[in-house]
Amino acid sequence: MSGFIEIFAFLLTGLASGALGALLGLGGGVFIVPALTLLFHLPLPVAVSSSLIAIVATSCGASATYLRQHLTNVSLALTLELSTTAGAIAGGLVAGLISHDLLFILFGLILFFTAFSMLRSVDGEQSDAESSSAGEADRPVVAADGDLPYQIHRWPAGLAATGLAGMLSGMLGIGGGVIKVPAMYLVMDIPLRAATATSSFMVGVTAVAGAFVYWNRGDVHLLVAASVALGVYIGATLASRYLQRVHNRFLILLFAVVLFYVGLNMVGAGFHLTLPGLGG
Amino acid sequence: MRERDYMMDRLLGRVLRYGSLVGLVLAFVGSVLLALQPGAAFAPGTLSAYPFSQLLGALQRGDPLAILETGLLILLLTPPAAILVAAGSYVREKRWRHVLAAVIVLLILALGMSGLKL
Repeated sequence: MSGFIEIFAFLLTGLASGALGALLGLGGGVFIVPALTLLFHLPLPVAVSSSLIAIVATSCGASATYLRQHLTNVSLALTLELSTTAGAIAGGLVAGLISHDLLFILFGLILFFTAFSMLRSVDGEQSDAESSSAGEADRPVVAADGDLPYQIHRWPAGLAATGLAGMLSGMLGIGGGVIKVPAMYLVMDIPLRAATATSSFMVGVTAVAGAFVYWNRGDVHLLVAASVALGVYIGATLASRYLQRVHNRFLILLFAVVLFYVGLNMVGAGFHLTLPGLGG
Repeated sequence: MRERDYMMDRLLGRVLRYGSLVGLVLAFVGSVLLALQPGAAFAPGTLSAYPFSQLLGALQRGDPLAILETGLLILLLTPPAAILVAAGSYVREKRWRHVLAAVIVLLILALGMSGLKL
């Protein structure tokens, strides 16, 4: 494959991953790693490091917007990053020691969890979400002056959950927002919008910690990483600016099924099995 | 949230936006220049980065790989730069607990960058 075709192929992969991630409210990592491993047959560490670098790019773009809206709680992010960055470095180091098969299976399980979370959001929790979102909208996130307009509770549990998210980020090349946001919102009582914005800032810092572990091990393919990162940045920026976030029940169900199927393929790759459609 | 926080938010937003943009543009330029090199071929394995000690020299020669690598490094150093800016802002406000958190996070990141191995 000539250089330009290669750059274009990885750019397109990043573009699609970034756009899908923005439309579904997920990080691009859950799409990038399966695409690079199952479709392009790149080694797992190269896919994970490319994904981490792409996550840094999207986090910077999204965080800049959230910071302009003053939704990000920077001091909370820095405190939680104490466990998250340490977790990401530990995850990156552990990933270099354990079998890639196990990492494929773990990634598949994370995809199942993500698909399940999406299904819950359209099924059982729909009514809860509607009733709580009315109250949620009234909860102040930004104060005109003085201290924070909300109280933060259960720090130890929050630090433990975000530390786990960091570890999974370093091992698998995901942002970990799927764990951080519920931990901040449900456990630490932080308003959802502030939790989302704070998580967006945090995933970039966490991904940097993990990315350098792979960089130092020589597991970063510079061309793949640069092409995917640029594609994800453009895809996420365009999708969040010009397209509506998907709330349609049928589309969310469809994407959840797709995620579940990709998860099956990742688990299959861990067992050296090939399912039809991907990874042939 | 104090007025100082609003200023810090705006500053952090700018650091993140412009740092990531500069890094991505440099990385893209390096990638294109690399693809334009005669006989350029991309091995299926890893395209190795220059050691940090040799990067500046390669950059001065206009080496496309060094340009690409510098772009990615700028991108990766952007979030730590934002934390540094936040730490500076907290120092001015004498919010020492937040300064301590920022410094420890930067130290953990430095540990990750240092080539730590198990």
